[in-house]
Amino acid sequence: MRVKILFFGEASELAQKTEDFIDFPENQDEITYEIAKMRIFEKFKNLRKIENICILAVDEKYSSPGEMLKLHQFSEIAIIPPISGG
Amino acid sequence: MDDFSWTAGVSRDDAQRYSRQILVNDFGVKAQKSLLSSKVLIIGAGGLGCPVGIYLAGAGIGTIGIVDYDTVSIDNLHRQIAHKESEVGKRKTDSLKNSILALNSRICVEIHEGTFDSKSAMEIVKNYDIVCDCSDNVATRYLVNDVCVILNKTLVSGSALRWDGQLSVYHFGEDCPCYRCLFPNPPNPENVTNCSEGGVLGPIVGIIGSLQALEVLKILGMKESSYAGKMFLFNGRDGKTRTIGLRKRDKNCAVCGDSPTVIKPIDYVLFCGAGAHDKVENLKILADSERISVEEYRDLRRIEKPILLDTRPNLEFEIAHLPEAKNITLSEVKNLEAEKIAQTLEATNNRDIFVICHRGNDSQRAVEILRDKFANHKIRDIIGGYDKWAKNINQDFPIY
Repeated sequence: MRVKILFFGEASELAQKTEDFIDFPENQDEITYEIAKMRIFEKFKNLRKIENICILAVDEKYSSPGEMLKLHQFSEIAIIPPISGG
Repeated sequence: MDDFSWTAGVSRDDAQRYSRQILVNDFGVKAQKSLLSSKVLIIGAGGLGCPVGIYLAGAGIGTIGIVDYDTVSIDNLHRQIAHKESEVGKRKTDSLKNSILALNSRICVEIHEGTFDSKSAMEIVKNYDIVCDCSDNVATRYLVNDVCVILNKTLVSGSALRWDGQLSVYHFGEDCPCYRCLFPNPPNPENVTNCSEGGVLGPIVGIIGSLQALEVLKILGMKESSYAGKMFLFNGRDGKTRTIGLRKRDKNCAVCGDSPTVIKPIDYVLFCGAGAHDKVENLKILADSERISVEEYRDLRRIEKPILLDTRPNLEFEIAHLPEAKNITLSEVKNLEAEKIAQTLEATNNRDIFVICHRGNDSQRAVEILRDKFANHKIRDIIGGYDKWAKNINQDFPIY
């Protein structure tokens, strides 16, 4: 399953792009938060240092640890670290 | 009936001044009256605080409080639109107050200069109806959040860096999360970039600050918010926006949960491992033998052109550098083979290598990495970097 990844804030700085794709080898439309997170930070290694502070939002909805994420062909997962500047 | 009596929702002055917002459907007289009797606290009179203050003043908020400890500097002016060239060096609280009063002399402006910390925050916040987080650092963001939850105040929170902005309204109603529900753990200070390092474009803070002001008008005037339980994300580089539906209040949240452990402000500098400001900290991780002052370096380069490695990002290197400097960024220093680095530096015959950066922090980190890669060279960082060079050696050097 191929899903779009959106990088915001520091995540886009570290990834040096604002979006990319990830292919989940699990060919299912449901995947645990933990596995999705692991796959994303496996692929985008530069983001690992902000892994613990990021919100993952699937199709514009906050996702929590333990949740089953429902994915489909046009799903997008946003990686959102907090911004503190102002 | 006589000619001289009327029934009015607002005074003649208010009708004239605020007519163009009173005329807006769903807003009207009721909302306007509510604004006129409300008190809003703005924390941070910077890139976000300026548009928030200006729009709220225009809209006729009764009392506007301003918190800031800092003074206006010339590099604030591209984005902090309430401050003028003539106010460089003066307090930001005074400067924003002057701009507010110039726009609307009927606003009551209260200024709270000095540090906003665990001691002072409760006393200040308790007098206001609603709080705008326009701050520039992690420690203040947690402090503001916790105080707002403890005192049951709605928090309209904006933040911005580089091309990006975020906006959310916290602690507005039973199910609405607070900042800690989303970010229970503060980031490692090493991974926090602030505006003085990463930069930020003026319109980015302008957009987020304007949205904060709009949310304040809706919350005070109409008792509703579009961003409670939602987060607005904006990337101005690609024109991307998203509004994320957030989680509900976390019942286990340390401050707004059902059994909170934070019942009064804690030590946020300790909690976050970083100070309540966006100034860059001065590291000292090298021994004195691995460091050299700008004066010593000046004397050396008068005799012979030294080998100088400049670790700053490309963009900063392009602003200005010493002619002998070769740009190898800190991440390149980490990732490149020693041979490749030596080639770029033309580092032959075990000559000394000097390392420079903006302020003397990254140059020390680079020396730590390089000393293993170049065992036969003496490697030193230039204390205080280009900032110090500009201060002590050449005042004309373009510093930023």
